[in-house]
Amino acid sequence: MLSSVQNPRILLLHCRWSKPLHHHHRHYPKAIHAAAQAQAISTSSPTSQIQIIQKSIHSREKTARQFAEEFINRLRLTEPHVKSFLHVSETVLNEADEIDRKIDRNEDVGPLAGVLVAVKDNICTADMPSTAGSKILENYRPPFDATAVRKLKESGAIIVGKTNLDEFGMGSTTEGSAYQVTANPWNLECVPGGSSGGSAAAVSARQCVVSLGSDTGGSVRQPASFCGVVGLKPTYGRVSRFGLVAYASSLDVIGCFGSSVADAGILLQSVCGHDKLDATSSKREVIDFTSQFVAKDYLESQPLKGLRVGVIRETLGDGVDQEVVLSIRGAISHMEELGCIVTEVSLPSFSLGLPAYYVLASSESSSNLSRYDGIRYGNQIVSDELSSLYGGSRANGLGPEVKRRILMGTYALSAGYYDAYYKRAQQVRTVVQKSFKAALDEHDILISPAAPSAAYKIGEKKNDPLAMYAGDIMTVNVNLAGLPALVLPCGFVQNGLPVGVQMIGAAFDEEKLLRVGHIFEQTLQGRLAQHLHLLINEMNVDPSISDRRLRRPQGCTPMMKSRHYTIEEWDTKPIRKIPSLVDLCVQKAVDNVRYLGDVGETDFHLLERFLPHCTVEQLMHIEDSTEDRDLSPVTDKLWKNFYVLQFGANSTNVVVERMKEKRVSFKWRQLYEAKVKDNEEAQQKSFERIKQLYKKENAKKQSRQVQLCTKVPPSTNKRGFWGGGPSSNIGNTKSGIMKKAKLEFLNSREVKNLSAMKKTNFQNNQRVSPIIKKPSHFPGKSSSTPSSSKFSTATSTARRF
Amino acid sequence: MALTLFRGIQSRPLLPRPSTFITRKHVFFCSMQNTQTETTTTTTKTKQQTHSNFTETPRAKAVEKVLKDYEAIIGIETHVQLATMTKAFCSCAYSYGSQPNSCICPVCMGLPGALPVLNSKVIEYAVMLGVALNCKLSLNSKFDRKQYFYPDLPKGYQISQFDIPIATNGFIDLDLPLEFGGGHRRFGITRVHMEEDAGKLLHTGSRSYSQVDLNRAGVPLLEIVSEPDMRTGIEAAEYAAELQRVVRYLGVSNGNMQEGSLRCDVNVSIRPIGQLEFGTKVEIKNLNSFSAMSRAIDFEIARQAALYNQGQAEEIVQETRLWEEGAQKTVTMRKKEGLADYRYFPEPDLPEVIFTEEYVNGIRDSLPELPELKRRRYEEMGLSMQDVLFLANDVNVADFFDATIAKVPDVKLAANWIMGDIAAYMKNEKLSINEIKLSPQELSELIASIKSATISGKIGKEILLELMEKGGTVKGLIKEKDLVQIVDPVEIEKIVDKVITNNPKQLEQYRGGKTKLQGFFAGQVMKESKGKANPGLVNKILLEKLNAKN
Repeated sequence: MLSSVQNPRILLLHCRWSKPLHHHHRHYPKAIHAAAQAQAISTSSPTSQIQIIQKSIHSREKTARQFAEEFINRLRLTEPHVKSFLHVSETVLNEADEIDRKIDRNEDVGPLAGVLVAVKDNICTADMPSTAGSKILENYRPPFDATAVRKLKESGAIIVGKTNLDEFGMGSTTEGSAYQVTANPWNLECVPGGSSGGSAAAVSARQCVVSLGSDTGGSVRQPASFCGVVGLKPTYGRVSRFGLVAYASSLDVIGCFGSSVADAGILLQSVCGHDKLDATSSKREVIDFTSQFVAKDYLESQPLKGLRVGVIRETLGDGVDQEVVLSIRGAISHMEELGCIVTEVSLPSFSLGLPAYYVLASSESSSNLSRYDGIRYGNQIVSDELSSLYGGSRANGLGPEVKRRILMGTYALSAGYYDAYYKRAQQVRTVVQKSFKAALDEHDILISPAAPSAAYKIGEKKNDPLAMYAGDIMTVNVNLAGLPALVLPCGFVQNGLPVGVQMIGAAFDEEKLLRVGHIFEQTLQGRLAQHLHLLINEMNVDPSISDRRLRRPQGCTPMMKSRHYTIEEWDTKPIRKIPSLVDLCVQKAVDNVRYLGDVGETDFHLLERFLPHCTVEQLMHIEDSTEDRDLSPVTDKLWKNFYVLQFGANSTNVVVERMKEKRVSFKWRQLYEAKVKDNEEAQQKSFERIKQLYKKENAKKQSRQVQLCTKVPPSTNKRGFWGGGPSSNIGNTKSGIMKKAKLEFLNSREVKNLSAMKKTNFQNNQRVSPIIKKPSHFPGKSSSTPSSSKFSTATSTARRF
Repeated sequence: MALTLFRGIQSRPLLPRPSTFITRKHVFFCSMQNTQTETTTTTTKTKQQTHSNFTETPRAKAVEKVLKDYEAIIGIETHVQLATMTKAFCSCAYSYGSQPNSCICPVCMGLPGALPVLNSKVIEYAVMLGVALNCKLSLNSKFDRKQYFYPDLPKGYQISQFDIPIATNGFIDLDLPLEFGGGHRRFGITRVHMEEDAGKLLHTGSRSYSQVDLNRAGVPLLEIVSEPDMRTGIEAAEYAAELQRVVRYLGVSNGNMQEGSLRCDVNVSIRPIGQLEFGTKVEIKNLNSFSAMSRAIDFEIARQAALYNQGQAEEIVQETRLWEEGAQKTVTMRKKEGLADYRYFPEPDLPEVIFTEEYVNGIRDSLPELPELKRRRYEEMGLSMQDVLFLANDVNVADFFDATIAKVPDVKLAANWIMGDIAAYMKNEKLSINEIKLSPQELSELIASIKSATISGKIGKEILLELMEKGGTVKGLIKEKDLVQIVDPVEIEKIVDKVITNNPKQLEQYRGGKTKLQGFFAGQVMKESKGKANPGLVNKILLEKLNAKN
């Protein structure tokens, strides 16, 4: 379940794929259904999104346009919160249509056909601005595509947009962007990591299928760890740097993000290879990485038997978060179970890498960034003198972190200091390379955390560059040595944020890394599924086994705990420390519940876990957008709870009595909605009355020619459920994020959702005629209302983008 | 040169920003336009000019005087633009005089994300020149970045070579022209390294802004740094001329100074004879011909000596001075404030340059014969130094000469023909030796015909003119015009008899003692024979006949 916990959305997606037999399938043709089953049921592991898309569009079971719409709709909904994109393409749907047409004509569409790829904004694209996150390149459009982008397009991929980054890739939080701060989809108050924070967040929030980033000192791996996605930094030279806006040329590599190892591997496959436009790109032949991805069922009991794994001792010592260490240790014992021979290995030069990296990277960047002088492109200030033109354009255009590094680099390269800094750092680099070489001669892969901590709060390290630099300690050595490394999620820290494990391989041996990573991912998933079954069985036997509670994420109120019983009884038989995974992923589903829509095939046990966390609107939205399935077994008691909360226990008892008398089977939702409607009507009436009174008063006053206050009373009716007293209790039960979400909802009234709600309400008419006029802020399932949603999508497009 | 305003190419898709004007207040290269004005001069002419300047101008005399007390130390940095098909690090083709900013691409414009890829021809040419200059080649060298800001430098750094140049420690041999006293010289070469050229600033008439032309940006250059071995302007000019000869012999550059394909910056310092330390050196730029070089250096030596003599030696400061062709003097361009820190560091975008000894040997074996070897060979053939210098000066002339003597190995005759009639014709018609219609094969044929007495020398000259103008073969012309020499004594005797009978008066006078009339008779015979009679035979028979009756 590893990568499924990357995001609640994908968790549900996987549940859907993995349990296809439980529910009937809406529109899958039989043949493809069998094929999908063969894969989905058997693995129940992080499925390659790319493979799913390929299968679906080629079998015409789903069109590329449908996939594109799905992602684009989610992008629109999540983007205001996550802010991972600097530019979103307007032609995504057209390109998807083009792919559909090509498929209809049986033309070759390429291995990434219909796959939405986001590209870090420091990678040049001819049809979109490429700013590298800097003001000095604001609105700059390169005349050419980067080689990686060109290859993507040739493979049929759809470039969905350009993702946010620290200016020129200099930073570890994405706060260094000149345009916006990207949030971590796991916790919007946290940083997504950097510099490829936008690309990592976009994959994590499922705004795109896969994305390209760049890794100079860990800029792919650290955000992958922070955002709980898979990040792959290939060997230096494996992917052409042509079109990558240079930060430190001898360290820069274009890397891949995906929600599974397979996705990252497939993406790498299509962008790598020699390029005659990049003299440093390798001429080595590229092997087929994708053939590595064997489904779990075909794996032996110890699929990694004999694999020599070295754990870098220095990376689990002082200065590393103990919870991170625990997660890594968990991953290590999992690898042992897979048959690996795990030993500790010491790299004494490890701590030297960080200072050497900052000297080399700054030196090269001071040179690489000289071209931004405002003469040929980029923002130029008006000046009547050359040196002030240079000075002014650069002072205006470049951000503080960039200036800091240019100054450091200029200093390090100055006459008289060159030997002490640059040359010395190069010597360290050689030492680091040698020590890695030696360690990799004795081990197949090396293991370390991807970052010394999980994601931290936005702003926490912004004014402390040294602390931020120190966070790169796990990753920079790999860049200095030019080796490939794979980061994939392996656990969580207390507050529910993901932790990634870094696997380092020998130069140009991405193949092995991907194979090991894939097996690791698949089998960890299996274990979790086991745990899940165990849990479910236990719950069936005795629903209140234990008081042992998981440590709750911070910000959970006691009330939430009291209602949230089902989850916390689990973990009675801890097989190991990390299995809090499932809980945490459920917790993430809860925290991000507003991204949910159709939960059609999700297991009831899972629903029982997170639905209690929903607000009225969320629950309503989920129920309404879930087709062909009655959620009432789970939700009925929740609606009862809401009823009690909203209208008091007395009123509830009265209703229960009344219903018993009438011997009617009823659903609490209907009752709730009816009651709400009654209340609203009553409110409306009283409001009308007050208005009338005011009018009368006004008329009187006017007649007396006395000007009095003409203020309109506050429109209480518009504030609905949470405006009044009782509902504030519900509000209090939610974390800060939910409050935020509510506020955002209050401010945004989507035509689309309004119409979706209307339609749904109409469909639900036979229950109770609902009177909810308030539009939901949750994404509606567009397929439920084909005609209206089409229209509303168009309108929302026009408004938002 | 037709200059298109940079503004005129706004629509060029490669230019993300249309306005590339920069202000020019502190732009120094104000007189660069001058470089375009001078007309092409051949090296021969340059030499003659140099000569005349040296002996005629009072300045040169002053220098001669100065050199009795002071010694000038001259070192030269030469930039040779390589005649590769494409630029050094991208696939743009460059040709001199193209519309501004028409030979550019993202790489040579320094756009974000563009990367340099080395043109392997640059290495080949650099190795060729390194071998030709007798240098020690570095089998492992690398590129470095030289960083400074200037609007014509798109990347903010120049890709160059710093601590490991591709070739070091060489020398160049040359022979000074006889006009300057002759003599053989060997000047040391400190280093040869590869680098890329920068763009050009075009200064507009309005003087409110300057324009950038990036056509030249990224064109490969070889920088050749000499040891400070030269002592006079003539030596410096000859060094540059020899370098030009070498690059032209090798075909690595057209070596054209007017187009800037060969640019020399000269460092001059003087010191009182006997002093060990060097004086303060002054750099002179904007030298567009060898004669300008020689004159500029002489001026500079005189200027510095004058300052020494006036006790103002401290006014000689380290600076860059500009040669003004119009005023025939050097003026201060910029004073160097300390040593510029170019913050060199290895270019990370390019791999190291590694080649093998075999590669170098392969190139060494395929090198053409170089000027110095050629001169030595001609000298051994017995040609005079003047002939040697003339023939070896231009690679095409030398090739012509070599091809001519390949068939008929009479070097003296071939040299005389080439240096005499052919050179005069070329000079009059302003043609190069490749442009005249005469082929070396025909010239050797002509020489052979004269030597074998098939035609006379006089007729040879006539035919030559026709061959140079219209082409054709010697044999064809001889046949066509019936020009074969009459070598049959009987036939000549007949003509002689005829002439003698026709001129009884003159015969009488001759026999009366006026023997000078022999010439008259010879002329008459030649006239009668339409010039075809062999002059030797005519004279012999004529004498016999004239003196017979005595």
